[in-house]
Amino acid sequence: MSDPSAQPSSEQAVIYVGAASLSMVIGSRVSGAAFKEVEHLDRPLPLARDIFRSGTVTRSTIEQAAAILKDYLQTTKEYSIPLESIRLYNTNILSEATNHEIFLNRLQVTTRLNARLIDDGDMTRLVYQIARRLLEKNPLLAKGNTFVSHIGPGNTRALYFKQGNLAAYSNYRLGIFRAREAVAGADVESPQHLMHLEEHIRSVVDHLAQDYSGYKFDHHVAIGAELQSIAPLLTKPKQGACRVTEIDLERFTEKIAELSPDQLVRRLAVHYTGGEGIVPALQTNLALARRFGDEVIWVPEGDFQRELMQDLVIASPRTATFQEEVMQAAKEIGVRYKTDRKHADQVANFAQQLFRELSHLHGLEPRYELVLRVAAVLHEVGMFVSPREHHKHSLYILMQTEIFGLSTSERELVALLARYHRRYNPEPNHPHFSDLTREERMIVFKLAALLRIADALDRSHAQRIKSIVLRAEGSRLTVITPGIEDTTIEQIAINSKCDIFREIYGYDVVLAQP
Amino acid sequence: MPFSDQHFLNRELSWLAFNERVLDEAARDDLPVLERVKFLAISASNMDEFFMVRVGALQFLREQGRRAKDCSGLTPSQQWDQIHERTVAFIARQHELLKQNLVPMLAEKGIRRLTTAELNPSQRTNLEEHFMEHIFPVLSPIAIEEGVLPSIPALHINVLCSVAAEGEEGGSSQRLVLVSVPGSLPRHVIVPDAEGAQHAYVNLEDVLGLFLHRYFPSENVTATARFRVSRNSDIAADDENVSDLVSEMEGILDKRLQSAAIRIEIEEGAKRELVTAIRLMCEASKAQTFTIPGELDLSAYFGIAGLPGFDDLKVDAWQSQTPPQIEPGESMFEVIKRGDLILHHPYESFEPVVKLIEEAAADPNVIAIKQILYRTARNSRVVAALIKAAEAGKQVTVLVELKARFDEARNLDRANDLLNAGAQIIYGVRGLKTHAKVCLIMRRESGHLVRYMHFGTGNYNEATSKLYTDISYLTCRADYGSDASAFFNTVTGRSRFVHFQKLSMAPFGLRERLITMIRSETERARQGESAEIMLKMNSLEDREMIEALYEASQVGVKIRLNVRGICCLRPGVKGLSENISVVSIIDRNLEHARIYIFRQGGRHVVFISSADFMNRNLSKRVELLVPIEDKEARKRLIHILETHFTDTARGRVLRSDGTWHLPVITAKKAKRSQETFAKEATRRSKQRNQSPDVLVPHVPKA
Repeated sequence: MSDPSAQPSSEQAVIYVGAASLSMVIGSRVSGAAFKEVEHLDRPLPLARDIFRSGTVTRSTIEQAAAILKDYLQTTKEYSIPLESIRLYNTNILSEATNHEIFLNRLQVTTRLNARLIDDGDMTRLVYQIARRLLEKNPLLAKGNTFVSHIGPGNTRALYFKQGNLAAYSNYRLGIFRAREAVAGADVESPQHLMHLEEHIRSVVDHLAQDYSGYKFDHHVAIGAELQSIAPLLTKPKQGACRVTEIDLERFTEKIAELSPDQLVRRLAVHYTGGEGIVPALQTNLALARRFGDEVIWVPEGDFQRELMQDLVIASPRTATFQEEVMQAAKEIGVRYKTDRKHADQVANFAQQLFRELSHLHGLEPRYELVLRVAAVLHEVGMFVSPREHHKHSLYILMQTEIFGLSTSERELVALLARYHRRYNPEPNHPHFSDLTREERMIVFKLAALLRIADALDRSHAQRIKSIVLRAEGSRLTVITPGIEDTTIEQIAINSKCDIFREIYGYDVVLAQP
Repeated sequence: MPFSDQHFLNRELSWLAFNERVLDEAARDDLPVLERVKFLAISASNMDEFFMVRVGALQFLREQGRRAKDCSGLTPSQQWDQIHERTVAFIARQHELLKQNLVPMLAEKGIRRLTTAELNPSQRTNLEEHFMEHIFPVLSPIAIEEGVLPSIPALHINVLCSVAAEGEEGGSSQRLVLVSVPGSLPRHVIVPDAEGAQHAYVNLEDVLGLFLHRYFPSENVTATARFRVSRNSDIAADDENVSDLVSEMEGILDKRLQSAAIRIEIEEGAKRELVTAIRLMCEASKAQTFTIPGELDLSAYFGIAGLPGFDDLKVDAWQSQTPPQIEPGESMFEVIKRGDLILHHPYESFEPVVKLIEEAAADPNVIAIKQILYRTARNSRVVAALIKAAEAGKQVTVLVELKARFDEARNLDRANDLLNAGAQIIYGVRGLKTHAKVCLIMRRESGHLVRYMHFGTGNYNEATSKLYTDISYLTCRADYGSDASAFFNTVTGRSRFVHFQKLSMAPFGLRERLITMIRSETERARQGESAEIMLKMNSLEDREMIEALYEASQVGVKIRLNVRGICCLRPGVKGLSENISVVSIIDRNLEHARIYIFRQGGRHVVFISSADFMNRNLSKRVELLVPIEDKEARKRLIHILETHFTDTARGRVLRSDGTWHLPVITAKKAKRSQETFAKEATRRSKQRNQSPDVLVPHVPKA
């Protein structure tokens, strides 16, 4: 008798419970970050409709999702993919459903998989990557000032690239299904429907336009599952994108707005649930284009949701460029809160060096280096409120501020590091810190210890110490500071705030001259 | 330009023309007599099917007074009239051929149908014994009462008897009795020891006539009439051929349609009163009644054509060859991994396909097999292999199409066995008949998943694969594999249709892709490039496709079509289709492959498909269109079509008036495409045997 699982599977699966459909991608990583897809399944699921219409996921939708997942697991069984290699993500609009815990629990019970919400940061990163890829293919967009918008089912992201570098980022509560359901009370069939939709969209678009009024831009890149699926019907893609004129998009939108759902489904080869989002999606993009007076928008080639899922399978490491963009975005936030820029940069540099050279001691994954650097840049934003207890002000400012490219949990980590860059060490009864798992608390300890040293090294805020050399001997970590003779202030700072370092790593930190 | 009625040929009349071409083969005196008898039987069973699935619906529309015209501008009534006229002539021709040519030739070779008058007393006694033992107990005569309609089974031979009490012939005590001959009894009753005949037989209805009186011990049988009824009884279960008509009949389709008699065939010589009685019993009009100038149901001649022995009266068999790419004893996985494989059945054997599935069933590295079953053979090895695979714990998914005409019982037969073995069974897709032919095998090879596929134009049926010309394509290309998976995900309802990389699937874009290809050639021709389309299919009926071909012809695309059966396109009309030629091959093997070739500036794009250019295939069925990218394989498929187009022995050319003609050419010079393929296959297979590519040198002993 043969054993079908004689050879282990190299495939992984990602299941994504999206706004209008439930999909699964199976594939494997080949040579580094490349992805070989072997299977792609997709079934309609009216999740966004439920959430924005009634605030909950309806019973029938829950049942439907469970049934689809059962089918999908049948497919993963055919590939003998173990449960550990299957990940189950949910669109983040799910968090707006009052019963989202029940929904997730149901999925979890059905599949025995850990059902998670997709991270805002992952979503942002994908939008960024799509934009970045397009910029690489198209020098025109890279050279100029390019505004990138992504209108998702519940949220809209805006990115601004100045000569190929990310210069601004923001996120809005404007989404395709959010808009559709907000006006769904109005007669969907009526010719006024488009007007209602536009009315609803306008206020958010105005807000967005206000935010970007200070920026001059030459090109508008619009990203979004619906728009990207429609654009090739309007014009042939060149250099990775379709160049869609505002007039063409307007005509097309008006035309399909008149179609019945049946006609729409046939004409565009979509399913009914997904079809519901198309007109609002085009309409929202159109409203944005009009507001900015664009004659043309650029729509990247590709299937947005599929790329998102592939990206989740690969979990590609953040590129150096991306990390620098994140740092840049963090610095923009620093500017907003009038932090000492030079000090922030210096602390970030020291922190980075400490993180790298002490990696054998902390054993943390490389992604925490970025978290530490961002925390270093932003640790003093609380000064904007008041120098007194400023670490606590930093905490709540950062808890409420989206940082481009970081996930929610990473941002919380940044906020906690800022909180613990001085004064009290973390204690189990501290708010936010107490919400963390044991592993996460250890990470806070380890990183906070590094941040405190880095901060102490520029105690004077005058960048007296330009560079450092680390040397560990016995129970002592010697920090050699070339080119500076008197490091008393810094040593005092270290002595007063770095007990945590000794506790965690077992080293006394001593400054010395070469 | 807008196209009008005159630009299209009527579908039904074109089908009749096809059946006339089949009968032409029976008239061919260069064929051995049993081969001719076979074509006669085919033409008869074709005709039965035609009446059952097409004419009934048409008749109904006619009775309802519907005047919806077909694409050639004929109303149902007009079509019906023309069908009737053509059918009468066809029947006359069948029987003339039988009486004038085939019966004398058969008799000369020792195969004789005896009439009752020819029987000697001992043969009569033998037959009577046979009758009393085998026939008498299974027949049940039914007395016909006025106003009560008896149920008359379709397609069986019935005898209506007029019976009178002893001594009262012609009196008022006449009554009518119906005797139906069950289909389970053999039509031919063998008469042993007949003089001058190796194989002598009496038709069952003749035996019955001889001993009919045994049912009426105290009465006399004064007259008999033999007849046969055809109904469209399977309309509800089978939408294969009537979907276009059914949509016309929305809301008026009722039970009546399913049970109505469409055609009554009455053997010549019946008394007028009995003919009238039969018509009343069947609720049939005069126009539905056909007088048959000879025996009923000529499809029984299949039995004669297939008689064991008589080899000199049959054609020499063309042996199916093993293609040279396959080394004896080699694993099919190895063969396919070495390169794409095209098989041209039946010149090349279907065995490699069956072997692939059997190998997969036994291979420990195979994790899943997915397969469409449409019409399978009795004791199908494919099904047996799938059961074995499921029992071995592999994931086996089988889509069994229940709507395959006339084969439902057989399709269902082993579905239960599959189910019990743990396979996942799906009985078709709601609203669409699954007609695609594909098998997908998923196999792990050193940690990676490799998918092996078979795409075909014919069914997974070992029996018909010996008679139908079909193409098999075996490959393990990754992008085809991912499409095949997506295809199965779609038909099993596990996923909605997602984008394919290479294949196209009906009803999701197959038609559009073909249209795009035709338009592309049209555009090339418009820009002065030479453009050419070669298509091979069973039927060409879809109006949109025909119009696209007309438009292509009008700008100078050279279009050659090889259409076996129905062709609604009118070729060779100036200003419309002068660049289109149509040839139909009717020969020993049933032409069944669909091959579509587009010149594309010299880099030919070649497809094989399960779909014809029929509305039902392109819009109402699940079908696949498979591009063939392998250079050698494309060359081969182009060669197959080129060979068909130069067939002057069996290639009948369609004229613009809808008639078909063989080119005038001496028999010696005539080229016969099927024979060419058979010879080529033999030659290729021989070459391999004669020149093995590993030579074994003689070396001196150490």
